[in-house]
Amino acid sequence: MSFFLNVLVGGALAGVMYALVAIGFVLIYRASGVFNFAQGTMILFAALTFANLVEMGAPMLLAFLVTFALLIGSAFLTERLVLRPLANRSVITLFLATLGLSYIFEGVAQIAWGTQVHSLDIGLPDEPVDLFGLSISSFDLAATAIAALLVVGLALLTGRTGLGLALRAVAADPLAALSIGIRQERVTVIAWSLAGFVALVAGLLWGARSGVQFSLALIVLKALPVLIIGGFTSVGGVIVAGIVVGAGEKLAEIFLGPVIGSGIENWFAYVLALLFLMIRPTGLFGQRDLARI
Amino acid sequence: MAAILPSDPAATQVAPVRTGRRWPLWLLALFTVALLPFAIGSDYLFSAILVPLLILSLAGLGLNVLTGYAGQLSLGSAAFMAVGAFATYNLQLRLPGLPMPLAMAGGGIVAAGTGLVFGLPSLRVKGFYLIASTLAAQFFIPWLLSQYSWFSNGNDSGVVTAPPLKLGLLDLDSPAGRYALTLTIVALVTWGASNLVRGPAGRAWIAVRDMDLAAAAIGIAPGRAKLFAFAVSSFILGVAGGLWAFTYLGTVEPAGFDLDRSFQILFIVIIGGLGSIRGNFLGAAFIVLLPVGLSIAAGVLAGSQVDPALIENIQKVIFGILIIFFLIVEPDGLTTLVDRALRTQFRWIGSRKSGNQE
Amino acid sequence: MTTDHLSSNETSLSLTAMLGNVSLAPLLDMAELAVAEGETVARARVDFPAALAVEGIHLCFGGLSVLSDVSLTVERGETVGLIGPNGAGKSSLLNVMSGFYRPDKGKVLIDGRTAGGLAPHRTARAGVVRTFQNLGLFQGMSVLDNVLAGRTLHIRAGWPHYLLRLPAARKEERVNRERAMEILTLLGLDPYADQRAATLPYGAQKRVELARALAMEPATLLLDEPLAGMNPAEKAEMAEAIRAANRRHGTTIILIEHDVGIVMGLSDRLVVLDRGRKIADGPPADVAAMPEVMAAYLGTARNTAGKKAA
Repeated sequence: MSFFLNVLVGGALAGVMYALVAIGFVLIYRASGVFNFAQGTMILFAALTFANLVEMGAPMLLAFLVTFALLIGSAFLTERLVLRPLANRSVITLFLATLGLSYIFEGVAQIAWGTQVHSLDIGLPDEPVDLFGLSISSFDLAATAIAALLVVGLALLTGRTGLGLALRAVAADPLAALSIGIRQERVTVIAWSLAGFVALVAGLLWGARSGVQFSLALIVLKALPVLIIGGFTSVGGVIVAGIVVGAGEKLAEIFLGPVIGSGIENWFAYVLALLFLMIRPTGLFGQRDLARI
Repeated sequence: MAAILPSDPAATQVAPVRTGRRWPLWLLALFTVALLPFAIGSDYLFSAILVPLLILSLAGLGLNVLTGYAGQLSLGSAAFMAVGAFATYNLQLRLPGLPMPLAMAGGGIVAAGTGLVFGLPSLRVKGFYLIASTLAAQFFIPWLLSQYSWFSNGNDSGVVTAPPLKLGLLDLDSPAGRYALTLTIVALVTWGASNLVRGPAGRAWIAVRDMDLAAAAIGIAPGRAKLFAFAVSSFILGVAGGLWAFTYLGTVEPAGFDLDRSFQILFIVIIGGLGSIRGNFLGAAFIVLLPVGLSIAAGVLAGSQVDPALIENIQKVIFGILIIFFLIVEPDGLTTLVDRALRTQFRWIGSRKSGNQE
Repeated sequence: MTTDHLSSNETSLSLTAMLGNVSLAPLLDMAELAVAEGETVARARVDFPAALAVEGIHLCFGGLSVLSDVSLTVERGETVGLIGPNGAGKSSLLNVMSGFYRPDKGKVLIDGRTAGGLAPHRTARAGVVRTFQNLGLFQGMSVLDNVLAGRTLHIRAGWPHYLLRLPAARKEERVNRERAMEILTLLGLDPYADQRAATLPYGAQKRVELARALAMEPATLLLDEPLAGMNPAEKAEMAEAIRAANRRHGTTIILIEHDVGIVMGLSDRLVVLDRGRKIADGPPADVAAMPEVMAAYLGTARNTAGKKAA
């Protein structure tokens, strides 16, 4: 039983990491109405930049700030060169554009910093901690704490500040927001910069956990099932979904693996999302929209 | 309860269907271009350029039917190719004496069935969310194929060498022979797909893509139209997969049918032009020739010490920029660019019935 | 049974007694109308069930009541104008009739058979075709292809025939193309046949949508503001096309339109909705004079020149 619980909790905490990645998506989806495929490569780019700056001798804080500045810069460029020209196009077009964007990020990151794996140490120890009779990694706990902080911070930002109100307005009805004087370009840049910040945090955590390598960019794909299961618009839903996916994956691998073969982790999240689509298309917490004919 | 319709993120503005009558000029050009290689006879041209170009065009056509015409975004094209490849192999293996083209058709049919299964969610969800389904296919199917050795006939590594190509008495194992077989099959399937697309099925697909409520208002059952698109698209992709394994790679393995391949096919469709048959060939030509061109350019500009990884990354950046460029500037892809260029150059040739003019 | 001796109430009562519960009221109305206008019976197929009927329709969105206890019977071959102020629920009623909205309460009957739970494409197959207020054209197709799409229900050859370009399919395609072009010519759209639908001016796009609906050869046509955005000349043309469909093919027509002048000219009957309720149902002249109707329009009802499209 305790083995089961160990796997469950371990998986759930890993799932928090997925959720962290997915939060970035939710931010951008709410602001620009698009699933930003480039989020994953943004994470890779952030982690690589940070790792290389640290390797070159910069103190961590400086590296963090420089990387964040670069991400803000790319948010500007993205808004100007990609999003604005594609302003009234369909969701699928925008998604395809972010696909192109992800290729650019990836290529640039690897041209600038090379393709080898970098290790990353951000000062978080990874030791087993005994909690309620279960052995949990201290790193995972710290990651969960950070994720919780991030969520609370974002909730406060969107719920209590004028900026958050502007973000919600733009998400609900861009034209109406324009008509009351909200500058959509500014809001977009801010949203994408926030997403960049989340990407940076996620990149650092993931990178510290499993090394900074290209596969980091593939995390974005696992974030999609998390988004679908949680609902594209709800940060809370995404956290829950991340935990469900993370735990489910691990459990399936350990308990179903011997029965139907190993490597279930590769597809479990997607098949789960598929089933969700059939049963509850809007996800756990998403909203259905009314369409007037 | 009042019927509440989920929000529709799939209203697309994609390319118009080419309904002009340009066949004679294009057909002639195509014929010449297709038969020219036999005169040149370079093995490299056949194996490394023409065969993959043709197969990728076919794959692009398959995806185009689903995404360009029916508007259902798919990231799982390569998975259906894998199904086709393995099904072709198994059919050929377990039904001795089955002619290769029939085995490939069989592979297509099995792929079509798979496509139907993974297309079922399209009955419930629209547009973007559907990606989850095709992604599930993209990850599940290669796992399945390499997990159970029955598919690769007990071969532990999961890699199977494709048997030599023989069509009855014809030995097609030479590069020219492979090219001939590929050309014939691709031409046939393209012809069939083109017929479907220009007829009621194609119109039903575009209707469902553009406004499925209006499609329902004129009696089209959107679910059935979508499933049909999945089936036809997967059939074409399955045949392409069979060709890829048997006339190009020479091996049957899940490896080359990964997510990157699906993206590659998606790029072919975007760059070539969504909703255009000719676009597939243009897009595939672009995808196949760009790396070659880049290597040559790099060799010329920087001598021989160019890191292949660097070239690959430059290629990635170029692709990314191009995708965005085409999406912004010319969503109808290369096809329209080429059309326009040809129209201005050759205005005096051919009285083309007015096609969809901008 | 002939219609000539059904004009007296006594006769109809005794007939009712003989035949039991069959309602002859519709028959009576139609007979009177037919005799009165001197038109041929080609206009009205004398079927017992009404072409389209709704009974006791209630529809709510969230907490908002959109339709309250709306009942309406439309006889075959009639043209019914559905008017009322904005927000009255006219389009919602049309959506209920065509299967796009499911009412919270009430019945929808097509040709006397319950059709309440039918999916929209099935009501289309049952002969009820609707157009959209905000245009339901397929923007990615040419004008001709749009109208050709309207021939969907008349396709008999299966897809294998089209796949291999067999003669049956080729012939069918040719016939359908001809029909489509006929309708386009009728509506003055043939010069635009190969143009992408999205490039036409708004009024022309509305005409294409009507053309597509006509191509379906529907039994019943539900038109949602078909004249919106048109100049008087275009409106006259459209009105004539609608009238022709009704006269020549006996198509039942339900028409939402703000141009009261035109609606009165086209309709056999006017139905007025206000805030989700039916407040009037009768011949145009009568309805237009009703004080409730004038009140519903807030004092701008008195006009014959045509109200500005809202």
